Amino acid sequence: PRWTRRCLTRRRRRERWLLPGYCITNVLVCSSYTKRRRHSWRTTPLTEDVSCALSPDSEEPSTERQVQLLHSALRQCLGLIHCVILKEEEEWGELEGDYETMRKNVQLRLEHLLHSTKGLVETENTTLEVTPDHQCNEETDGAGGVFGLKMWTYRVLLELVHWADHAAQTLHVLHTEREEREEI
Amino acid sequence: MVLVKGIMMILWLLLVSLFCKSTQDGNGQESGVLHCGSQNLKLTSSGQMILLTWEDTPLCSAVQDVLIYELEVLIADNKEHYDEVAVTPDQIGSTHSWNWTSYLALECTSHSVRLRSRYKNYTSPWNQETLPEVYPKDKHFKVGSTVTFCCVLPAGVVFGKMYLYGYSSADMNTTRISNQTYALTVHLNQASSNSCTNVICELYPSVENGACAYIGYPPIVTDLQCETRDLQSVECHWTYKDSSLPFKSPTEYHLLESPTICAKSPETSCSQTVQVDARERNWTLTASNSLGEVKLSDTADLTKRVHMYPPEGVTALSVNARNVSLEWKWTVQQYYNLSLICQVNINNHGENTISEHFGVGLNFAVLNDLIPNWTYNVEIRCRTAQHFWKWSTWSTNVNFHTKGDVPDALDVWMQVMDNQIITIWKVPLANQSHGHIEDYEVTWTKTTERERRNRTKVAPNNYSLALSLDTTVEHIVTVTARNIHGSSSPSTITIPSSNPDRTRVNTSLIIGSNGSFNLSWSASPTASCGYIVDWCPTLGKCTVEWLKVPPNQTNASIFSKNFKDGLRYTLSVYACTQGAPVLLQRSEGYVGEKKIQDGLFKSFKGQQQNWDYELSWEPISLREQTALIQGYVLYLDDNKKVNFSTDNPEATSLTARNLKIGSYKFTVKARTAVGECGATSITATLNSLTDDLIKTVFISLATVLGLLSLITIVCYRHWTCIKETVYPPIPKPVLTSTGEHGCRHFQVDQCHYSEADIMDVPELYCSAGAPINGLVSQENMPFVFSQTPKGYYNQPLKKYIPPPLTLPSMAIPSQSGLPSSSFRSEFPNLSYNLIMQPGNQQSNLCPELQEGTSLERSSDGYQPHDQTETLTTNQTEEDPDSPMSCVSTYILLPQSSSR
Repeated sequence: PRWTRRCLTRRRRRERWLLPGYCITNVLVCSSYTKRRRHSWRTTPLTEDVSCALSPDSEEPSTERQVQLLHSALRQCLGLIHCVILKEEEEWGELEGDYETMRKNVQLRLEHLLHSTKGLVETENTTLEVTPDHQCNEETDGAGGVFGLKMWTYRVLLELVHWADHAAQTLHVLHTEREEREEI
Repeated sequence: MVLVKGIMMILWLLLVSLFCKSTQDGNGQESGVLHCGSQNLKLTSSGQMILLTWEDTPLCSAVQDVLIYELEVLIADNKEHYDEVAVTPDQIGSTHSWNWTSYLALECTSHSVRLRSRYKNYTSPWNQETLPEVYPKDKHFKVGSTVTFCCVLPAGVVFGKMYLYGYSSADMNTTRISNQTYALTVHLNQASSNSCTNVICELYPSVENGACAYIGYPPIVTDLQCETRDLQSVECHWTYKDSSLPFKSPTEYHLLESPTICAKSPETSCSQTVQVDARERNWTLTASNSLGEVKLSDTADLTKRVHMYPPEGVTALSVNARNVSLEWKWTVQQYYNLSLICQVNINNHGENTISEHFGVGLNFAVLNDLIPNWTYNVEIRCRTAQHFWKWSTWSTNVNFHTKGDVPDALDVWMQVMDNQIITIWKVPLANQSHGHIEDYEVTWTKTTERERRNRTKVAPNNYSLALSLDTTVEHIVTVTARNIHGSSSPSTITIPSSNPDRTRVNTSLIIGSNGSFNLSWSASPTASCGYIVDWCPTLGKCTVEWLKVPPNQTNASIFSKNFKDGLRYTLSVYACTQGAPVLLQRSEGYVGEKKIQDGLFKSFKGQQQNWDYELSWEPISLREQTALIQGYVLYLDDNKKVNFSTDNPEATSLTARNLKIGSYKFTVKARTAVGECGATSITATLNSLTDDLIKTVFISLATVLGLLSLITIVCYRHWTCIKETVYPPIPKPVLTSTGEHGCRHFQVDQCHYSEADIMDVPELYCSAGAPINGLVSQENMPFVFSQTPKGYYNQPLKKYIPPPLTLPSMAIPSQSGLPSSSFRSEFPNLSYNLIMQPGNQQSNLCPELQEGTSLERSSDGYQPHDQTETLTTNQTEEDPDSPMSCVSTYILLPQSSSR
């Protein structure tokens, strides 16, 4: 699709990070796309909002800004996790198996990560939220039925894996930079 | 005119151009409307009907007229149906829907719908949606059935493979039905777990489709059991096994063939109002789900299956110190007519006691034997007395606190320490004090004078009292505790008199285990009221602990939180009698032994004995050790060899035997139950025995020589002092007589030449009045030179020939040419000096008489006597070789002539 080409173009132009003002949803979609290609599935993107524009000549944002963007992405991931839990419980009820326990753990750790990133980069001028950023009003995969729900859940989890990896790298960079600053 | 026409033309031209411009603007708006189209297409199906929903794009809001949507149904990429949907301007922005029923089952081939908008003469591009391709979706299947799934390929893709997740290929078979349809036949032998089973259809390029299948069982219900709780309805219970069907399709239950749903899974009970009478009936339960239906029945007389509801509103009435009355209500009135049994569970700080109560319509109970001033928690359950079926559940818990009372009697014991009797009692526990203890009262008296009681109060935080009593007689000590409600009953102990025979028992050893001592003793006929075991660390001051044992028990496990490993304890067993307790046995031991620290052996030293080496140390105080010493082991050369040991813990030496010349490291360790410990080492070299002898001789010689040299040096340096101390100056005799009465001649019989005369003192004879021609005085009485108290003493001398002694009338200084002698002295005297000049060759201790040549130098004209006057002794001639005993005497003043 056209949005996919746009995403890929943007990723080529800006390998590591998106510019300020770039809609974080796009990041989610782009990463989703790359994951989907790797896993060879056929679905629509997690969100249809691909209309945000990229500032062409801006420089790479500061690490603090990157963490803020990361925080925003993680917040959306938390919203998606909430949505997954809601839809799965609608379908299968409130179970208490291993899967449900792990799902709950992921949610709790993600909330903890949001609090951590908030504490790292929140300033007087920047207020970060830690509540889930998702309305959970989207359809999963049309007429895919329960299988469609499972595929959608899988995509949400891949999305989360991507951002968890990204968080590890970015927070490491932030930590290193701050240490260097303290040494100076 | 022409000019006016020209201006008018220009105006028209302007108007035309403005119009054209406005027309162009209007065409631009139309162009925006034509970008209006569909979005968010959703294609679903139900049976053979397909349903399409969509929304308008935001640009459609500019549409002023009817908007037409054109729809085409493609079956296997062939146009099969065309339709139009008209959307009025007021419908713009809402979700639109359209449906169509295919003449083909949807599973047969792919069904797509494409959609475009048309407004006036402009149409948008097609927007197409294809129905999913794997069928059936989300359907329920029974385990054990064989099912065929269908994968319908969209145009332009290639089939890869089709399978059920978790199934082996042996259970699956894929067949091609047409170019675009494939079928998978599976024997379903596994129930779905965790939701549903995935049916996957892999296509190329890069397309993966699937469906979900619920594979489960018809209802699995067992153990139906029906009862009544209120005697007006039946309540049935069953057990249920998950049938692996979705949450949205639960198993439904119907009781007694009633069409009303009684319960849904996962519920496992339901009830229904019935007439309960005393007869057996069949109670039927029907369970059904999407895969089947089962029926169960239970035969029962409900009057024999009364499962009561728990008592309600339990309250504690009339709470006293040691009893309480409980009351409750029944929510079912019929219970008041039943014969009931109720249990009251009394929870006393985690310890439960159950009491049972009976009665028709029972709704109260009295609890006795409670602890005063104590909080209880109770709950009640009941059942019918006849036809026991089930207990009711427990009622809600009720708490109450009993009233206070006087304290319980104290547990009293005694300890004798440093001529003091310590009466000690155990701290009353909360369940014994029954209120705050205000003080203790101790009274004591001699057993012989019971009417005279001494009395004292002890503060509530003290639990002992030291009394200095006459230990030769027995005393009775009584202790009571007092709280706000009064005094406890007295606890009495008789303090035995200090009869040594009475307390003399053998002490045995005891080994503790698991932090306690297991003590046993022989039964004693005197133990009328049981036994008392007390214990304390063997050494040092302590607070005794004790345990009272009933008379029929002759063993006890002694445990105390104060026990420490490595500390020796003394445990004593007493017989409890009507009088004073009698000591039966005494043991010492460790509750747990600890290794003794290194350096146990004090004054550790060794001594070579021929080819043996004996190591010795100070006696070890066995009671002060952290483990029981069983013996000692001697190691040589860093534990490489062990040769010598003893099992005597009181040994103070160990000998390593038959050693060779060389250097050894001797290590002695104590043997204990926890291993060898307390190591003490010494390094020693064993030498040849001859070496030792030579060394001893040389050392002795050197010591003697050194001593002699020292004495010589000392004597030489302090000769004057020694001389004055040992040989003080002898005063010269002063002869006061002159003329005829003067003492003209003296003859000193100074030396005697026989050993028998050694102690004889020389005598000076004075011849008063007579011419000095004889050796005797006028009275023929000799002058006697007696020794002064501090004079020199007679010393044994060698025999020698004494020279004649001349007694000058005045002091004559000794000539320098004369040989010096330590004994040459002058004894100053006012009138008479006796010069003694002992021979220089003789012993230093013996004065040697000088020859008369010295006397010739006298300046006062006193001439030496002739030979007859010269003092000589015949003894010298008789035995010239015999040792001479020189007797130096203190020369006394001559007596007055009158005498």
